[in-house]
Amino acid sequence: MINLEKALAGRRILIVDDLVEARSSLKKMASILGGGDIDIATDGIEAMNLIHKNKYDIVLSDYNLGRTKDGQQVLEEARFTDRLRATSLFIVVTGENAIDMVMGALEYDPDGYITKPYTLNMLKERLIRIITIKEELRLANEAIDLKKYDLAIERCLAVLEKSPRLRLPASRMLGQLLVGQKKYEQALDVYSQLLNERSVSWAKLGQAICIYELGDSDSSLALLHKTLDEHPLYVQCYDWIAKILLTHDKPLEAQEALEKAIAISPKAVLRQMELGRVAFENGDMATAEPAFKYSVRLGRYSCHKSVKNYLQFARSAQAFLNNPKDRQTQNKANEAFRALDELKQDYADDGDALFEASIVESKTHLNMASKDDAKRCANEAEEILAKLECPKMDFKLQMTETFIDTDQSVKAQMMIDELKELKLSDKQKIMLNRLDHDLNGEALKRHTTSLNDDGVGHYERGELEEAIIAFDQATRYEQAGISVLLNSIQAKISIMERDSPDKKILKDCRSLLIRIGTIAKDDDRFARYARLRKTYDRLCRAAAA
Amino acid sequence: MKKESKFEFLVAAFIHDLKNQLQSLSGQQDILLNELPAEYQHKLAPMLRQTNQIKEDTLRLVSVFRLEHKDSFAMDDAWPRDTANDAIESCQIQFPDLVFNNRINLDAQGFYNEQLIQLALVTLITNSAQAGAKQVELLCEEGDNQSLSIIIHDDGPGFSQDILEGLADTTKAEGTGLGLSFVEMICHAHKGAGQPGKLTISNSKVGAIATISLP
Repeated sequence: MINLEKALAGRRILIVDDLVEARSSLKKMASILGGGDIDIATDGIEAMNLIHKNKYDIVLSDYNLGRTKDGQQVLEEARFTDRLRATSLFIVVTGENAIDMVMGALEYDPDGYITKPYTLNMLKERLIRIITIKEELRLANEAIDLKKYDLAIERCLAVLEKSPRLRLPASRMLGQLLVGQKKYEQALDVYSQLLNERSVSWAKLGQAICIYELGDSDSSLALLHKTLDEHPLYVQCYDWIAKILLTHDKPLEAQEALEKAIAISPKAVLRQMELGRVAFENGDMATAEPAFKYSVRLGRYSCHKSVKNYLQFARSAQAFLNNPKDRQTQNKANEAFRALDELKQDYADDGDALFEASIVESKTHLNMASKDDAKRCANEAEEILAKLECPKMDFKLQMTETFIDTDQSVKAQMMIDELKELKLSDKQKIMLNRLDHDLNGEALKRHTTSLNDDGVGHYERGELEEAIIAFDQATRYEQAGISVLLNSIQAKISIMERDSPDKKILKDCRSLLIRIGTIAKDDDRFARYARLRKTYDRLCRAAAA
Repeated sequence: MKKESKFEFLVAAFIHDLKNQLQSLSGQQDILLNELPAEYQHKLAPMLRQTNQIKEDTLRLVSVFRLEHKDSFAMDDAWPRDTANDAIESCQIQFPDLVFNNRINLDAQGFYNEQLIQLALVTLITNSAQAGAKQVELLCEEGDNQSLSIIIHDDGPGFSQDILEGLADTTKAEGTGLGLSFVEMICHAHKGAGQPGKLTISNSKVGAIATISLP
């Protein structure tokens, strides 16, 4: 057994508790027991700031830290960001009823827990046991810190053989290491052997994960449900149930499982993100929107902060922007705008993020009936897209959709034409076809009419070259009518009659005639068509001569 | 939120708050005792007793509620010597004249819910004290397959024949008389190899013996 006073001397300790009395009494107790270098944090955010700034040997954190992160999240983030070495201690202080949640975290488990209410002597005894165990596993933890996982596995096995009393902590570490190395069969052996002797909840989860990874998802699901029957607060089981149900193509049931987990433990960013994602896919915006909103809030000061959270929140909020004059709708839109502003500010160097933010911003303005602002944001997105080195196909599709939404049909058509030439996935092709279909035909018709008018003006003034350019632009669109096509042919024929027959121009004329197809004799335009056709034939013969 | 989950949420929140207050009180007492000169410490005794009683009663109330609802209790590696020390610490405040002898090996190890077993030990020691014992001895036996027995042996009058034969729960005037039932509930909540834990009581030549067996 270690000497606690010696073990604490010279170690840097962090105490995290949101209650002032609990904080100061734990600090005093730790001092009495030999701790000298002690910092305190009042919540998870302050704790993370300190952990990022300093290297702590021991963290004593309350589980429930008020509105922001809980102790488990502080632990996850500290280990995930490598700010807390494997050789450092993380001890969670909690009420007995939350132990299932503390002990269940398979990947980021604390080194120990202290249940409230405790006395100075109880704290002392517990710390001695926890530090003694940590010391026995020091070599394995040192290997983990060096990222030498095979060596860590070897050292865990040695501890298991030498000290049977350390079966639980050593098996736990060994199982995690083997799963991390994708050695599922060996990990399954470790968990199963332990379960033959002890009914340990985390070993059941480990067993279920290995069984799933080895291909038997039905048995894994059954085991997870059984574990939940025995430990209803074991939230990680719900996460895995959801994951497996998604692979079984049961997204609604997966969402249900995630909702149950969130009801127990709402502060996990990744879980909220996953619920948002699954609910969004299920079209359940009433669930997706608050989940993404919570993800943004929780992720704001965490390693899980991501562009995706902000965008998905703003996207899911669109479903609630039904009545721009309604106060609630305005509030929701403002929330979305604020999230997008924050995203633009925090990811100012990320072109992709800025592009997507502008697209969602445009959509939000559109839903709030601010067409000018929607167009302005669309144009901002267009500028950003032009600057991206290798823009994703999906971005081009999003841009096209936004052009259509903001009545910029010409730009949309150009983008569609460009996309038609590119290699797209099946999903992207479906989207492109839909956009192509959606493209406002009336708007294009108006545009071609305007171009046609320009062409007619030039033609009447004898400016044949300019007329041809205008008619060419007008006939690029499928929506160009027969009269426009005939005008274009007429301008081309006129220039050939003025100069000389030209094979390329004749080829263009032929394409236009094919597009016109046949015109009924009783059609008003038939006479003109017949006359132009005759001239075209004559010019062809002249060109061939 | 459903009505029943609202109720559960409220109960959990109140308990959480209560435990925090108790923790704070307990911490301040410990610090005060550490800082106060020895000659003044006895003046704190009545307050310490009351606080300790409230703490034990609160933990018992929460546990009995959860045991009755067949809630799951997290089990983990635990050390009976520490658990016994914690129970002794609590009982010493209530019964300052009682002599304790913790003979449990430092290395003895079990797999149980520490808070529950501590409550069981406090209950059994309280029974001994209230029955008139002057001395309590705590022992531990580690069996095969990591099973464990914690034995409380006192020098009191021993269990009456009615209690030994299960005809009565108590013969004493103090307390609820349901202490043994509470300890039995705790034992049953500990299962291993399909077998629940159990409480056995007997009399020795001198005093009573209560054995908590955890499979």
